Amino acid sequence: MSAITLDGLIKRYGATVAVDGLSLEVEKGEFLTLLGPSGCGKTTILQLIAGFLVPDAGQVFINGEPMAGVPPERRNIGIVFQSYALFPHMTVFENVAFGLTMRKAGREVTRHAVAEALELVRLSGLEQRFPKQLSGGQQQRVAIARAVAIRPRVLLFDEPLSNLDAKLRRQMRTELREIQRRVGITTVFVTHDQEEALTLSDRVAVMSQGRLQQVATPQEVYRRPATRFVADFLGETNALVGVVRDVDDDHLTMVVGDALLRAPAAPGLRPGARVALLVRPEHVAVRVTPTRGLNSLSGHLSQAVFQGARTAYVVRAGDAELISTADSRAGAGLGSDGVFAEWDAADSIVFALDE
Amino acid sequence: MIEGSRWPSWLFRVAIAAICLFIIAPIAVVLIGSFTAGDSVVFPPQGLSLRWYVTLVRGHADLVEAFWVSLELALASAALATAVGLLAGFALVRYDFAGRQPLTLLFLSPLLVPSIVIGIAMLQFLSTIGLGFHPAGLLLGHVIITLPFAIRLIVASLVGLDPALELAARSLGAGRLAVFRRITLPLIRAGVVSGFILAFIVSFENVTVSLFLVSPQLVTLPVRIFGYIENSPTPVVTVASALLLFASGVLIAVLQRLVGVDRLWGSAHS
Amino acid sequence: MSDATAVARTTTTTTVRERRDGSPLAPWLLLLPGLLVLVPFYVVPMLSTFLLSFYGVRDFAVVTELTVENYTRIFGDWFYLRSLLTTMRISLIVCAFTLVLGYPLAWEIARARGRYRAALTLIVLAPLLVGLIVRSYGWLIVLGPRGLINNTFLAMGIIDRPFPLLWTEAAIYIGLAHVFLPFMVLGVLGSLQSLDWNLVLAARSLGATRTAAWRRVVLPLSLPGVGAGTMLVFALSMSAFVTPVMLGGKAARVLAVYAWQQNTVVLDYPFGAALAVVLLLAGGLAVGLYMRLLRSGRPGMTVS
Repeated sequence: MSAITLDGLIKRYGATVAVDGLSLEVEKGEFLTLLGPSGCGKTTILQLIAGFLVPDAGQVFINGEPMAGVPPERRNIGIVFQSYALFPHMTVFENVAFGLTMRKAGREVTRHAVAEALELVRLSGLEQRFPKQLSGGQQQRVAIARAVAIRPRVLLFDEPLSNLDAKLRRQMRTELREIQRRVGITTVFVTHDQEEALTLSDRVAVMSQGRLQQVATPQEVYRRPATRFVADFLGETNALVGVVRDVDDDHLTMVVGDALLRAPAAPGLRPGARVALLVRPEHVAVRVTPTRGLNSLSGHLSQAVFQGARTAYVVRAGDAELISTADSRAGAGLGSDGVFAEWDAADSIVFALDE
Repeated sequence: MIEGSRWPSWLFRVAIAAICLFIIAPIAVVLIGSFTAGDSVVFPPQGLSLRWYVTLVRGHADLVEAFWVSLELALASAALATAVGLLAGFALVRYDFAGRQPLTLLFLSPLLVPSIVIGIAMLQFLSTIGLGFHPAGLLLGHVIITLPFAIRLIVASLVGLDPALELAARSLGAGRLAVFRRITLPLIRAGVVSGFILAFIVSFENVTVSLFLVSPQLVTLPVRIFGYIENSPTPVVTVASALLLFASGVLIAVLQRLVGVDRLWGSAHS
Repeated sequence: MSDATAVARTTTTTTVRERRDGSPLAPWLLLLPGLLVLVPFYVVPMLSTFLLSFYGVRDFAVVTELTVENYTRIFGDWFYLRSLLTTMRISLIVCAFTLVLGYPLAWEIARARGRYRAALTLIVLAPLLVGLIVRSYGWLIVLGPRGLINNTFLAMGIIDRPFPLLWTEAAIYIGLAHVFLPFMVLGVLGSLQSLDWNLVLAARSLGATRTAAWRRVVLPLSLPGVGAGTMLVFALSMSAFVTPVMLGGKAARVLAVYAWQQNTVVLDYPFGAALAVVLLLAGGLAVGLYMRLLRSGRPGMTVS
């Protein structure tokens, strides 16, 4: 049985549809990330699960129980908010103990649970501090401890790392994952940061405009994006627009300008269809002499942007522009004229252009 | 704030100082004038003494009584306005319902309608239904004019409260009432207390609406002073005014500490 | 008013609102006590006064026949018409007075920092919390025949007997300007505070002198605030009557004073009601303009 089942959820705000018929299952103990741009409906889903919002249609099940009519305080869900939402008038201890106090847990039980939760987030000893006296990272940990202390059936995170600076964010990311593994609580994590999604999750659910685009492992959504949106949203991509010339068993050939490109076939594409071929910059190599007949665009190097460990090369080939990233040491000797941008057919992916 | 483009002309500074003096002077003279040793209202006072304070307490039962009336009235109307305002403010900020905007306007509108018009309307209506000069009329009038002040401060503190705090408490198992009692109320306490104090000051100082609603048996201090001035001001009246000033002065100081006087009109003014 | 819209605006942007699991009755239950006070004792009286203003009086009794008699009396009788004009004249002069004093003050506050700013703000705003009575009484002492000003001039030998300052229309200007000055400062400050001071630097860098930068950049951008402050002060002055009575005495021939007398001395309620309606409209028109200015959302109009 799934820990969370969302069945055909619809949520409207006036005329806008925030969640548009969304169904999703989250397995027990799984770490699932809802990834999407702001306004895609991911936070709405979190609030539907938490019971802060009531769906216009569809159902939320937790451990198989339907949640309709169950108020948030009786759902037993731990939430870590973007603003942490630590009660400013309470000490760290009182914050973490709040959920247990509400459950009328005994004093000893409470003290024990709070100590355990604070140990988990490595904050033992700060019980008597007030939230204001803590750093951003520490506040974050208190928020996690508070959510975990009630031994919730599900943990929800609403962009919890977005208020931290870049370095702390990376550090908290690793730690968050560790904590989740230790407690083993099913987790739904909402973010618009692809790096966060890719590094943290067992599975990533990519959302756009209230709908799911793809639900798969991080590797798969990155390597095999199901839609053009997923491909664009995760990582950098080069897009080349052309027309399919012919299709064989598992490959197709397409024409872009005067070049022929070969790519894995996609279902439903016939010769004559207008398509976009996507290839990631790290899969594009820039060479002085061509090493293959197909998937080799001749052009000239218009820019080389040094980015530290890697350098981005911008190749102009006719109307198209391709970006290639490579180890900074590798391409040092490239001249500015007459280069070839090349890639393996297997590294590219083709989508029909919806007209 | 802009280096090198300050307008340091001493003339401008003198003008600012003069304007500040213009603001402070009439208030300061009431304070200083109340300590006069002389027999009439003159300035500068002829010697300093507490004799008129003594005279007021010993020989002007009407003013002393009016002081207590004003105090009780202000306490009662501020308490009512704060309680009613707390409930209404919470509804206006935290709930979404048809008619929320017009109702917000209704609750704040006594700030926009001239006090004299409120006074006239209430006087006419209360005497029509036979409640003219009833103490309840005076109390209701004061609740109505202090309500917007209480609501404004309460609403401002509610709006400034991160809604996630309440949601977090809900998710941790607290019901609506528990959330309000344990999270919302403690966190907007400063707003509620300042709302009460502001309502108290407004009621305590009010003369315009009171003039229409007082009865010969129940007169507030500002109305009593107003009556005296119409005849002839004496140093006793100066002392009575100084008492008003002391009361509001202390409360203004408290408000300044709690929220800052500039915040009272900071978000918007009227 | 700006409050109402501000409240409405802030609350609509709050992402999470309890339209969710609560009963739709909950907000109404919370609003009920307030409505029980406001509807019967504020809304109904206002409406009944409006209605009453269209009734007549015969033999000391209200006659419930609709008539515009009361209004024709106000606008047809030279006595009341002149009073209306006097009230408007006084209000306009008070506006000008508060603007002259308030603009420099707002300018200084907008540019001041730290403790100086806090002190200035307190000086300007705290008097709002000191009642009308105290402030007007203070002017009584300052302007009186043996008051601060006369005594000072007598002592300096500039005059040889007290100069009549009190019980004049000028005393009313001064008293009202003192009472309403904070509102003008707040209005102008609203504009000046949201003004990007880099604009002044930009103007200076483009060759404008200080005065030119002020005249061509700051002044136009602060005009909405000036307008807002002026409207508010005008509206407040139109219906003021305590200060005019205290400082002007018999010179206080303003409409509000007559409205007060009609309702408390003469007891002609329908006519008193009509005077109240006229006062409400006179102030209401100004406030309406003020709201339009606010809503037009021109630069500088966002009152932070």
